[in-house]
Amino acid sequence: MSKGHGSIIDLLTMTKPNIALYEKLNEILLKLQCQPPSNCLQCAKCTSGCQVMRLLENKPHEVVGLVGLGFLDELIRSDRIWECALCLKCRERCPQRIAPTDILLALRNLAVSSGVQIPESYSKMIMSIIEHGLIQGPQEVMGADYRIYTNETLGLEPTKPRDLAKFRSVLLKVLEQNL
Amino acid sequence: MIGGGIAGIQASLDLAGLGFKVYMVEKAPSIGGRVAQLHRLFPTLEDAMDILRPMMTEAYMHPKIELLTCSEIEAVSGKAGAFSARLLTRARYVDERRCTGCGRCASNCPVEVSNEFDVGLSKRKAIFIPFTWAIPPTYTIDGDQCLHFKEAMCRACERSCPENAVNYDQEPTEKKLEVGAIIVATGFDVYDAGEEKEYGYGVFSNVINGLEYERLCSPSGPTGGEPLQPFDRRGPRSVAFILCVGSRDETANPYCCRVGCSVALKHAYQLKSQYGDGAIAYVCFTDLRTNEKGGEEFSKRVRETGVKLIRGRPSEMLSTPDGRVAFNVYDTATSKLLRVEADLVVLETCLVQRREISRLQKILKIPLGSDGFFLEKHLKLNQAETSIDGVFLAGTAQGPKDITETVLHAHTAAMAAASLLVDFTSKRHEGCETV
Repeated sequence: MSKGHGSIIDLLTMTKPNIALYEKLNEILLKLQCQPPSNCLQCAKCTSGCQVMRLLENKPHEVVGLVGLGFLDELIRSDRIWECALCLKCRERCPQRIAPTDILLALRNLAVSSGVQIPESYSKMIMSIIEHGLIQGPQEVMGADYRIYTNETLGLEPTKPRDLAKFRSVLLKVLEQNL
Repeated sequence: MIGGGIAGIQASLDLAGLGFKVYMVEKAPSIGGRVAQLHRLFPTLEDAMDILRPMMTEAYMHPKIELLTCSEIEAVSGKAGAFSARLLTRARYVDERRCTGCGRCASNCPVEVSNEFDVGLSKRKAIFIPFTWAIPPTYTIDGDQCLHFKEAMCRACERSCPENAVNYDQEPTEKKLEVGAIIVATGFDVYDAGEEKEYGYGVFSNVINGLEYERLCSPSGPTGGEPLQPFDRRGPRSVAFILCVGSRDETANPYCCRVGCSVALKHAYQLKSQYGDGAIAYVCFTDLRTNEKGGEEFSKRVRETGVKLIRGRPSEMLSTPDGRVAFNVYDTATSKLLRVEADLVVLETCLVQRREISRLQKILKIPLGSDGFFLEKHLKLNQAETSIDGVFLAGTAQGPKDITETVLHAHTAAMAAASLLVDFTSKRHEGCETV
């Protein structure tokens, strides 16, 4: 498969397929038990139902197509792979059992390990996790009756990891290993 | 011959024409099969009944063909050249020789049940004839629904029959058939579109399958050939045809149904020719595969009528407040996410093996392929033969086919069976009867 990518060039950007990255991606997909992108029929059922498509024009079927041809450089450098809301609709409904979500997750992993700058919102999330143990701290919400509701007013338990210090140290260790 | 659809009829006519005696075993009360349910056929748009009716009549009249309707094979023993089959014939409760098909019994019958010929879109009586041109033209009592059998009270049909043809005491009969060859022509079933939950088949009344649409188009169908009548509203109306429902799908049937594209184009064409600008037809396809003879030319004709072709599959169907169906579909040709609102959505569903086939499969022991259809001996060289000597396949029992191919396959099956039969007959003449 890898040798077959060598001779094509994308004339719009003058880029060639990235074979090394393609092989790495396939290894990840194998681990995730995801069907290979070569199975894709380009029926676009994933894109028709993509929740993010309507907001940000992310096109899962194009991602699968680009991956199939090996054009991974543009993908790992693009914001598109970070837009997926992970609703898993494409994975549930793909007639070929391909999981565009898993492909996007694999691409995110490749992006990070290739040293691509991840979007700011993601680094903010990581900081928030280290600080509070949560992606986002508990919020105040205004109800239809214009009253403000919080965890306390609703009588909900505070949502925090049980041992924040321990959690933080494990997380930092993981980050250290990967950076 | 097991099955009295177009494949069974064609192969029977071929064999009977060569002088062989044919027993045509049909489970239903009439022969005709799936083609009888269709309205017009692609790519020529000829009336299905125009080609089927003469074939059915010829088979009915042929001295060498014995029609055994309401019948099923119970057991088979022996081997090629000398099979013995046990046949069970359900009681019709109507004397075939006396019934003239006048229909007075049905008009007096008080029981109304779902009509399977119209795929449940209309009602029929407990005493019924499956369709106008049924062969044999005999009424049948549905023993499971008839009040006489359920509650031992009604004799309305018996009283109204001028020929005294109704006989409640008729019993199922068993018969033994000695045959040299068996041809399996059992046909196909339609994939249950309800399996694709996101398309709302069975939930929204205006999401139907292709066979149901076919009945709605048929002048003999429940709406007299007005497919939009049940979904009527003012203004231009729109119908969306969704292709590959349950086909080319690893979660359902991985194979291509091989007729869906042409059927959808035919449906869209008919809609446009019937309603003109009063109806809009959308066809959502994955690939448009119209590779039969005349298929590409037909596809061009369809596009000229203004049918909107969208290259993409919708992900889900939603109901709108005014009772229509709305869906989003990404058109990969224009790179646009389109919102389609339709009065009717037709799911062109896959062709699948008969659901109740395992019974016959156990009797005949023909291996099934990975697609669930009966496996041929060799895909290229022996398409109508099976790994069991003397047992042959005709039509869609072997895999999805259009009518053109089904008839060709039936000829092939007849030829293969005939050469085996000739072989055995000549051996018998030479006095070496041992097999």
